[in-house]
Amino acid sequence: MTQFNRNRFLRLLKNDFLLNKKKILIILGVITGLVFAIYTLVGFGFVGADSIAGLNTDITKAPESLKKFLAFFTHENVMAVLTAASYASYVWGIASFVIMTRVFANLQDRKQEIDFLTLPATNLEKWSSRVAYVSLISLAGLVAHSLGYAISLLVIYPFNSGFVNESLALYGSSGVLEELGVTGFCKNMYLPMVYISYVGLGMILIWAGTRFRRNAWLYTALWGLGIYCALFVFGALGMGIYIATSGVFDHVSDSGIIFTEIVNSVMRISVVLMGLSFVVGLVLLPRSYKRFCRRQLEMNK
Amino acid sequence: MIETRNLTFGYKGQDRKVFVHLDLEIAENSIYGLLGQNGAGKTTLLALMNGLYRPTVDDLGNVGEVLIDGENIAERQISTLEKIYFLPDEFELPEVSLKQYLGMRSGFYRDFSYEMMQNNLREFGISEGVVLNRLSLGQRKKVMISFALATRCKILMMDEPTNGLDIPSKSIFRKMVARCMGEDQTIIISTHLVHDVEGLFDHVVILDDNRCVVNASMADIAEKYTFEYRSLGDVDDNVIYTEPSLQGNATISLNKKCAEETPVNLELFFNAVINKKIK
Repeated sequence: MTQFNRNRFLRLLKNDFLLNKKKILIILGVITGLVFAIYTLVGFGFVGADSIAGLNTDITKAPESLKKFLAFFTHENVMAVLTAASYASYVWGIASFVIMTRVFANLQDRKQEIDFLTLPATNLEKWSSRVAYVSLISLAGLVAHSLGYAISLLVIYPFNSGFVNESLALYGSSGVLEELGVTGFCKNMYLPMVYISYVGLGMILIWAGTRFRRNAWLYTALWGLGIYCALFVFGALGMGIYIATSGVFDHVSDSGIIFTEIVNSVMRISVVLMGLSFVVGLVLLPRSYKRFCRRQLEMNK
Repeated sequence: MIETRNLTFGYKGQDRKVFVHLDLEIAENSIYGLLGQNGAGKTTLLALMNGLYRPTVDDLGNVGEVLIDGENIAERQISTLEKIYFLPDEFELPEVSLKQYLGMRSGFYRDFSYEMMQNNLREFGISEGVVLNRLSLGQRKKVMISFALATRCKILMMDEPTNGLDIPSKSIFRKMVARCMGEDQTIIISTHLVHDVEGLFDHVVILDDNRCVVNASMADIAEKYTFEYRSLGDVDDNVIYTEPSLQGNATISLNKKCAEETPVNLELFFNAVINKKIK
């Protein structure tokens, strides 16, 4: 029976953390700071935009400086911030994950591998500690994301009692997606699916770490690029064929409706892909553990 | 006790086997010298005993095993791993202070003695504030030898521990091992520098030609053979092996019954074994 001891697991985690502390602190600092800053701005921004549009927000009681600050957030500015925020958080999230999987690099070097394998802990403890280590990034991102909203909520709340509900809608991205005309499942599930895809990505990279070890970042990036290009090409091709053959836009003269259709299609594909990454991650994670256990056998080379 | 049973091992992609059907027993409460020429398989045997390598399937389809107190090390049970500390010949140390390293690693060994660690470091003249990856090879060895002994693991394996140590440190090392050795411990020291560790061993295991050619206690060797220096004319038929030296001819001869035991000249004994003069 495979044993799991919490103390040994924590010791292994501490071991990996201390060995990589500079890298971890930089990555965690950057991603936490970035996500926190972005989502605080986004939180403020929507209230600002809302107040400019004269909708639900009443900030007349707010200090002048806050009014001026919120006035910056026009609808266009907010959309720009949100787009930049999405891209930045994706890029940093992926980059951080890839960097964190470097923790498996010590399985590439014979001397470091002996040092690690001879530590008195079970394979399950060693592997789990590395899973936890790589997952720190998701946790940091989630905390920063939530904290950003919480801060904006706390600042705005005294001046806008209706803000809580709006914020919660915004937190789930459904508000933004609704503005874009996205409806149904995609609207409500987009943010959860983003988180799920991050978890999926983490699992895929953990597998890549045990598979490619020191070169995990390179091979994973190449595989990712390859898959992205293939999806892009086949996706565009598929969509083109769909549009040409289905005649979906034949009777539509309103460009707004066409835009909404495209956005909805893209969102559906995105949600499917995000779900797919989670499924792929689920399949690869046990394989990662098996491969990790086989390290001893591979030492025979 | 460590046992290897019918152990066959060869590296992947190489036809030559390092060991073929090796049977060996390492008794408890002893300091073993694992001797052999370069490439004899000393490091490989230590790696097998640590469960780092897995035995190879032999021609008959059998897989040998290494048992640590009756448990197969290949299963890497935590109860077995906890008993062993392996100090390889070459190792990398991380960019952390020794104090941090102790914080990271000592917790894995339930009997770890900080007091012993500090005493060992003091003897070697190393302070706790040093950053490990900035140390020279000899200093790294000193730190890791101190750590290995302080773990107080039941089985301690050291691969070429005196490599890189200066002459005074080799002497300190011998004294340190003798002082730190616990009652229930087994220490296995692999070396090709026999002279560095002479006088430390209770037992010797000599590897040659893919097999264990000697596994004997020093007491047995001393009882069976006489080691002495003789002049050239004094080398008679009773002498099994001789080598010229500054003090005359170093000789090994069969010990006559009731004759007084002589100190074992391990280097000479090793050379005699390697030259097939003693089986």
